[in-house]
Amino acid sequence: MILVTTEVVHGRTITETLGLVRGSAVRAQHVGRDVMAKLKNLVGGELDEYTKLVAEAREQALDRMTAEARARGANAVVGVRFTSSEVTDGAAEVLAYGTAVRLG
Amino acid sequence: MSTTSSSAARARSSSAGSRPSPCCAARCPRCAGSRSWRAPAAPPEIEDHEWAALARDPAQRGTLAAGWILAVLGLCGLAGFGLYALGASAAPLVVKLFLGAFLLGGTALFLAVLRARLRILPHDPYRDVQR
Repeated sequence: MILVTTEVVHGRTITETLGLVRGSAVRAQHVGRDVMAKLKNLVGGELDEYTKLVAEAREQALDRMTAEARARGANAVVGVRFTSSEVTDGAAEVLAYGTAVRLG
Repeated sequence: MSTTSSSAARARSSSAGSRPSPCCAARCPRCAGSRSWRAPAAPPEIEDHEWAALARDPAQRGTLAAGWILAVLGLCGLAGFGLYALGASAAPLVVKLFLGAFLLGGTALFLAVLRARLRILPHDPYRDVQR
């Protein structure tokens, strides 16, 4: 499965457009990590607990989008984008979407 | 809703996309081969060895362990004292009953959520994602 942010895959021809595919994930971490992140917030630097949290949500959203594309018979997703929003405190929501296509 | 567009600049190959997480597969044999998983997204970084050294440092580990033990001990003590103070207080019995029901219900709900999480945990490959 090829995932690209461009509208085309250079060197390949899009033979069929299969439509929008998307995947989203909302994830939280346990309170212990939250406490450590709040404490790190006092001294600065990377809050790796939150980095990990967002990365988990990103990968899960991407996997769900890819799974939907695969189910539609696509072999690529073009125009991949990520969006995020805040649904609740301490949780990360990531939505990945793109256009599923079949490449020749 | 705040929106951020990102450019995941590289194409991902289908061979990497179908590889199960070795960690997840080790924890849960049923997951082996059934997971969609990719290679780690982030390459190693300069400060990684410092984080690893800190994680092994006895002083750091001891401080963290002592901190957590004291904090949890204090919280449990305060909760116990709160319950005792409520029981010994002159509050009406109905207040005590309703508050007890509320606390008991909250504890039961928490235990149900915790049980569900512990059951799902071995099948969750995303906990291995680092950044």
